[in-house]
Amino acid sequence: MLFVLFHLGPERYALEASRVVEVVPLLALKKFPQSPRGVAGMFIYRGRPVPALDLCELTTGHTAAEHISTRILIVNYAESTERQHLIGLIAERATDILRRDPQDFVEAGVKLAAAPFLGPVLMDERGVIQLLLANKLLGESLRELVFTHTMEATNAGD
Amino acid sequence: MTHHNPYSSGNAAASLPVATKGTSALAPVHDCWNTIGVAGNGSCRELVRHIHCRNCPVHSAAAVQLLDRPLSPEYRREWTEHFAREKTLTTPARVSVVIFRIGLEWLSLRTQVFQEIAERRAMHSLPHRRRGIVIGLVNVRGELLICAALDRLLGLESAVPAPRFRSRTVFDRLLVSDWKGNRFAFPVDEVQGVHRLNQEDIREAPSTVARSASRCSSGVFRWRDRTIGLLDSASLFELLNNNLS
Repeated sequence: MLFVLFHLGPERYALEASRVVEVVPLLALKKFPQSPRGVAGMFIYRGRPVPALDLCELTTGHTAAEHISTRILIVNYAESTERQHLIGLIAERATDILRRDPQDFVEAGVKLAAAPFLGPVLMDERGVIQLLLANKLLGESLRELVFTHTMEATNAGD
Repeated sequence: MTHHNPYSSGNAAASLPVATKGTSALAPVHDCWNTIGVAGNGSCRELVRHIHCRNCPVHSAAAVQLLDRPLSPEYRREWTEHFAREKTLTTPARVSVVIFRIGLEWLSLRTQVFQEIAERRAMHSLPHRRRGIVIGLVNVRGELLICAALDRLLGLESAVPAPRFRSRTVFDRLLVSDWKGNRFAFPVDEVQGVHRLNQEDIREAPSTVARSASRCSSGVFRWRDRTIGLLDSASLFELLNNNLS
């Protein structure tokens, strides 16, 4: 199975590549005033608005560094494949991929109620890589906030 | 560039980045490839294993480090505009045709129906068959094939006579086709070769062009400064089979 590797602060993380639609550079974002922590704003992707979530801010509390290696992973959040609910995940140093058996990831042993999106871990020669569970990234309130906004915008465009 | 590179004019050196200092607050790139690597004196012991610096993890780590530079506003703006636009897909379904000339008519047929483009060769005429579609028999790789006149079949021969003196000398060819196991040969005056086009490049033939060939025509397309008629393989070979007797 193929994984996209990236950093959030000093830590390394992985995301299932099959969920990633495209990896794009850190685009200019339209920011929302008074948006909750982690919501970086939105951008226009292929003609439609897509919300951007700053994974760095969500996990480390710091906004992602504005570097060339910081990229937006465009992920399809929809449960079914017919519909597309795209969301942009801002991740630092998204420059590598990894091909590993999903069985190689083992339970981290710690479950954080505040961070249900942190999945099992994998060891390699450079240390620990933690799997990010894309479908658990948005809490109920955040999901509602992020998607009602963009869905209204999409409907208005139809 | 702050680093002196003795081989900077060489190809190997040109493909390797030279570390530039002062682009960011990050640690400067340690460009060992320019000192002990392939662009340097080649004394690095890792070269035995990696052959070239581009295969070495130190080199790729340095490349990743170069990406850890701050984003320039122009870079960001340019990509933002790029990804905001709808993705334009170039249709991968491409049509391959062979373009040829009969008399003054430029025609084409799908490449799939052709087996070979051969030299013109001796024709064995058939008795009492001098006026029809069948011109005679030709020997192609030891097999006798029916040689058919496309211009007569499509009713093109009444057009202005072709400039024979030119075409006879260099360009004339024999197109060998295979349609569902039926092999035929067609003499043509010139072959322009295989050309690829998109389905949307093919337009409907104007009624003036179509003439009696209309039922075999599946459209026209522009090629260089010419309009080429595309023949529909199925109806052409059906028409040919019906006119053999």
